[in-house]
Amino acid sequence: MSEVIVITSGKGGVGKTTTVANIGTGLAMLDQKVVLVDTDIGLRNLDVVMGLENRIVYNLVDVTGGNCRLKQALIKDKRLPNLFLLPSAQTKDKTAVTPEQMIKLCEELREEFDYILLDCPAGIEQGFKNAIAGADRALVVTTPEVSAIRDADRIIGLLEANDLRDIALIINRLRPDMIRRGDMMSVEDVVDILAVELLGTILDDEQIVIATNQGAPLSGDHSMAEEAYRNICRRILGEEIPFLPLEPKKGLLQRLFKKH
Amino acid sequence: MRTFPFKKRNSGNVAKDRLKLLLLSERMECSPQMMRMLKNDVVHTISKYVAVDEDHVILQITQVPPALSATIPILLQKERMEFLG
Repeated sequence: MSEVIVITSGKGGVGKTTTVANIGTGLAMLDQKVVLVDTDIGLRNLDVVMGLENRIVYNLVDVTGGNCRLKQALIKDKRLPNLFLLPSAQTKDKTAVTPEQMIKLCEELREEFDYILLDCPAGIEQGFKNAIAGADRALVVTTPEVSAIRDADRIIGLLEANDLRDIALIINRLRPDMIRRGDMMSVEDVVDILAVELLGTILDDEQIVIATNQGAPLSGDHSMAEEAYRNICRRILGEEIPFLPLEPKKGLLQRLFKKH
Repeated sequence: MRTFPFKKRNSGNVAKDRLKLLLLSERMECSPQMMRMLKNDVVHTISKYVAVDEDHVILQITQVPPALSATIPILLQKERMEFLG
């Protein structure tokens, strides 16, 4: 049975698109047939993070407007044959797509794919309403900052008001050193405040920036972030994966010679 | 901000406390000012019947299940005499 998952956050810049790219890639690596849909009309992003920006011919608005067939607009990933992208349009008209069209599109994609990941735009406007219309499940991405958590709480409220009750949380850009000093809210603090199920935690990792620069998510550098994304993917598939401590236990020598 | 030898409060805890208060009123669609007014009204109503320790009234919203709860300390006869001097 296929599943439509919307990745949303309310606040911009917390890592929605990166999360979509990495979870999509991770699920495809676990032999799922996956399509990523960029629903941010006017500000397309997912294509560059995936490194597929030069292959776009048709986009989301072409599909919903009937200018092309769905298959013509789907772009195959560079590395994984079972991973596809439906890019967004760069048109200025944000009302070019309606929630009804999105529901229809999701239904069509269900026939072809195991997982349909929707990259939701920031904000709570039309784009947000479109993105959540056809979804079964929502992943809320936040960072341990007051502004992001406040917006995440608002988004959770709106999702529930729209009868989307399968909500899980991803906390991004955690800094174990700052948490240890007490200068950053911990995972427990954030989960306590938002009162939703935790799906995964991602450390603030420079490898993410490097991967995005190269347009190649989860490229096998064995970083902590990669491991975290892989665990999230396996939890999405229904496996019970324990939450690891943010910092691996270090030996005395490592502690003495740590880099920072 | 306090300086040495007093320990400064961690900013993580400050953030958590600020958020808890803020989200509480946002979830209720009730501003902090409305909460204060509600609290005053509650205290006013209860005081008609029993003497209330107004300074220590706690009005809060719990998340699961969503509920409004109030802790209203009551002044007993002896305390009331002391209170009134």
